[in-house]
Amino acid sequence: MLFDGYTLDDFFDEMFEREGSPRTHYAALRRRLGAMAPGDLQHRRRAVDLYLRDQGVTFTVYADDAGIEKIFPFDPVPRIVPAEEWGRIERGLVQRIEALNLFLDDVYHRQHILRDGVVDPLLVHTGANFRRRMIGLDPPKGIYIHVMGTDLVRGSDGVYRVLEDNARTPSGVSYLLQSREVLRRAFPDLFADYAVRPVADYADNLRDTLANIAPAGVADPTIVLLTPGVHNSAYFEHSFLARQMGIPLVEGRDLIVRGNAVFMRSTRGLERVHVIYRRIDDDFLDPVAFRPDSMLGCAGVFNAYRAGHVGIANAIGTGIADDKAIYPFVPAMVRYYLQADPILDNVPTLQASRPAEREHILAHLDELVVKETNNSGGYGMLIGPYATAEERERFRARVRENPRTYIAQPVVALSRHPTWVEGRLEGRCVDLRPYILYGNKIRVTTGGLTRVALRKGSLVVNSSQGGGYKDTWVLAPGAAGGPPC
Amino acid sequence: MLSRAAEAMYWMARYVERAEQTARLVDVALGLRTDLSDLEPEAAETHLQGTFRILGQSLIPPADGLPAAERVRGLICDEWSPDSIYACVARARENARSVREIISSEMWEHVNRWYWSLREAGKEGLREERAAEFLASVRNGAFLFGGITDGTMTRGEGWHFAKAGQFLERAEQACRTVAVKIALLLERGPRPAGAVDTILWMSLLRSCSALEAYRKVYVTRVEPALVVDFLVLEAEFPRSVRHAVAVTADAVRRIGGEAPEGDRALPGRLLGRLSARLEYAEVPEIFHAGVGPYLERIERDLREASAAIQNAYFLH
Repeated sequence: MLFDGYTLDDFFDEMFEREGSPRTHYAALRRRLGAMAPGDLQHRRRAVDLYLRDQGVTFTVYADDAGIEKIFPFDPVPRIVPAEEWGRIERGLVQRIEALNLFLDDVYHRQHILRDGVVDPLLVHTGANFRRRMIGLDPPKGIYIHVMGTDLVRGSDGVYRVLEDNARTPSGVSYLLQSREVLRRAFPDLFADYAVRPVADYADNLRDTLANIAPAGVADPTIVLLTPGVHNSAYFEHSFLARQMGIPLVEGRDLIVRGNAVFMRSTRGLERVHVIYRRIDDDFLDPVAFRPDSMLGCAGVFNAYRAGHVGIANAIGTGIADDKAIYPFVPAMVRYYLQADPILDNVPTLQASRPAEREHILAHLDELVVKETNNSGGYGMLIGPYATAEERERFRARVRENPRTYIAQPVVALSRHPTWVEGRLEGRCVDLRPYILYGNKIRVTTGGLTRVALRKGSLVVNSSQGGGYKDTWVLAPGAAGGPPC
Repeated sequence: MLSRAAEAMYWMARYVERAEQTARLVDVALGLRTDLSDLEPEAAETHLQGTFRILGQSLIPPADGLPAAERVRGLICDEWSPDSIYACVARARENARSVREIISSEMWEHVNRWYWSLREAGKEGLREERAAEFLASVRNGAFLFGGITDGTMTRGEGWHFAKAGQFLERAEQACRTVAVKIALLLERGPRPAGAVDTILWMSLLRSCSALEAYRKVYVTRVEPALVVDFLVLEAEFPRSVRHAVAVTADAVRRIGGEAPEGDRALPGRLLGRLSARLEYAEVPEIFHAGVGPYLERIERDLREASAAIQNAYFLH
């Protein structure tokens, strides 16, 4: 019933191998959903929405009229990843975060990778997020990226590739942690046939990752989560994570620097802070070191950091690692620093900074996705096949004027997944964002945020542009559909 | 705990208490209009104006300003008026949201649901017939909040700040309510004489949620001295000025600890003195000073204590 009229339309479908034929690991789910009455699914969905609203699982959308807080739409059909597929993803992500950390360490010290001609130095030095103040600074334990969210997509060939890394203040993990709970409440029967790996240990792991960078000799470090405040679009997540970890949620105005150490204003006076998990951009972190007009940060915190009196996660200056102009070089970084072949490949990318590739981009604007290298959230992007001639001309001029600022990729026909749309299931494009923690060891979440583009035919999955999310099930080895590891 | 978080707990509780108080007073005022519509409608009107004064809405003669119905509506659902029920609940929720990691999830979910249900009720437009029902739901929301807080939160610093906020608000409101209404009542005569007077004195007790509690002690005797005694000095009645001040003083003492220093010593001292004064006060001295002036003095002391708490714990 629910699957009536479900078509694949030449997309790689997560659930179906061919029309009517589910993949092995989806067979049980297909059966259960197939047996469900549409009214039942509808009813449970409404319960989900109410629960999310009661919990306040909201996301603030700035461009939208309908009020400031919106519920991030949750789709009840889970995405399933079999164990051996996940194993490969996990190994590939570990490689990537290691390589990127080594890159940052290199680029803020001896810059060997630039001298050896592997990465164009101009791209690094003109990077908006390359922070000169970090040159020569040794962050605690030599780690720069403590939390990373990497976006994976697969095209018609079914191979997972990296679309982008998010190495500054990646968000979304709270939805991942919530979605398991939500699905368990509303659809407990779906879990009956599967051994799904848990995600609930994320908060503990994150806390350990943060404690790992406390100044030496501190037995029980005070860790805080620094948020821009209640009006920030990701505030729910800041509050959620602080709660889960049992640490104070602070704003810039709660902190003060005295004698190059960081303190928070408490009812008992000033209390020392050892580690800051900051969800504020570098630019706004310290009006003395960075933007002087910032009201969100704390004056002097960078000096305390430089003096080794406070740990900051993620380190300042990681933005050069997830700069879209640097992204094409990440597989080369894996080879250079780890002497290994990258397990995960990038989506094929053209760089406008290279003359030959630039010409190709300009000649094929109607076929490519062109991205600005200093933007995120799906903004500042041209999706060639869907753009008007006028939009393409505008981008042509911009690419010519400022080539370093643009890369281009072929339109990836993202894989699709059955998604609840107005009374039945239809295929909608999805991506996958696992999170990686770099503490005393590298840990990849056993699960990821599966974002889904809710608008028909849309390839843009970002929440800020009308996307939704699903629960992601990584199966235990030997579970339904997966051979034992 | 974080100063800003302590401040949020304090104001969250104050706003919840304020919402309940506003709903209660508006409900009593509307009830009075119904009860006196045949007997003496002007008296109901006078008390409605008194209600506006208690709640902080400045006194505008109806002829020159908004009609009373509009002002009542404003008190309930005006999004931009700081006095409205809607604004109080919205602010309570904002504060709760900023300390989600300190309050229990049951507290948050309740405040959130309460807020949304009021928004939805407000959207449909508030009709006079539904007012009583609406106001009752506001009051229930506030009572539930108190119950959930007491039932799910550890008695730590955060909880004590919430108690301090709630009972300080209660004490201030009790002073204002009694002062304003007693003045109107005593204008009519030194004691109730006749049906209208009785109804008005009972509405004073209702304004403090005290009618039934009072009757359990004094049955049908409605005498000014006894009413003042009950509403101001009764130790065991949870809404009397004395009780509210005592609870506030206790909460502040627990926050400050055994021997608070500097700025932190002042709130406890001010409230301790006030609490002692009320413990040993007697009704004749209240009437001697004048009920209004006596209560106004207490209100001033409470405001001083509130500023002292602010200085000691929230500002650095």
